[in-house]
Amino acid sequence: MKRFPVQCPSCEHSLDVKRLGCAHCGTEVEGRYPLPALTALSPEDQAFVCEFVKASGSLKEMASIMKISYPTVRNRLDDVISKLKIFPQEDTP
Amino acid sequence: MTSPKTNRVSQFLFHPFVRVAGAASLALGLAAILLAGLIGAGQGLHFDGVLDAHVGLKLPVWFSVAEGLLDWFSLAVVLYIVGRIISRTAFRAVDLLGTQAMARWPTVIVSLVCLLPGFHRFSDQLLKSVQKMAADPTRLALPPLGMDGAVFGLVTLTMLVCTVWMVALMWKSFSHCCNVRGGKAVAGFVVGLLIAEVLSKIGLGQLLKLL
Repeated sequence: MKRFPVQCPSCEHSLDVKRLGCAHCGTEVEGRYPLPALTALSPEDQAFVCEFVKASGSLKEMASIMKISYPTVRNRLDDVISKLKIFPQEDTP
Repeated sequence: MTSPKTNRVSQFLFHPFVRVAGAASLALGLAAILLAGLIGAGQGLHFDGVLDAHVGLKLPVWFSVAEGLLDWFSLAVVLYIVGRIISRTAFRAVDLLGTQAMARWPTVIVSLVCLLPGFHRFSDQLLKSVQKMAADPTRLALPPLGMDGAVFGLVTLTMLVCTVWMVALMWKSFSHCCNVRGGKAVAGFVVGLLIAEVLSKIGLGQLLKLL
């Protein structure tokens, strides 16, 4: 599976979306759109955030779903938070 | 490359807290402390300090169990305070208390291996020899090794391995529950362990007064 690029391979700054297209009618829009902060996360972390939201932000429920302990879930969440914190603020919509 | 089965075994032995923490770990840990105390009491085995295990006088069962509880509580409370100081995350007391109790489960193995026939016999002989040598240092009077000596060696080695294993589990519990890593965390753990060792000895002194 191709990984969604979020960082410039040349200067390592975050990438913007330059062109968007409609798969239905083929319309294309060009501009400069910053990527949402969540795209900075790995697919695994994004899935974790989705599950976390679905579980109403309950660490206990997440632990029960993932069959891991409460501190393991909380540590994983801490990791995600620290990754989001280093994502450039001006790129966050 | 390690197989998933090896990973599971290694996780069970050295980092069970990835899967078990909170009330479940507290129940399992307290059961282990109780069991180690019950098995140890009958043979005069004492966990007389956070990291100590010694053979001595046969004392009431409640005393042996209380020793284990005192050791666990001293370290758990000290590490909780250390964690509050150095950790940047909001961790739960029940996770640290529970996993620290569970980290003491190798003491059950120590209690069981001490039941091996010959261990106490050789310990008694060794103690008498040391007493004789203390009275007359020119006389070297070590007991003959034989089968009892081999059992004694095996038990001593197992105790050593279990102590190292227990410390590794205690560290994992602290590091995982408080989400702390690096030099500051290691230093905090070592200082906490030393303070808890002293506290447990003071507590033990008070416990002895109740006998």
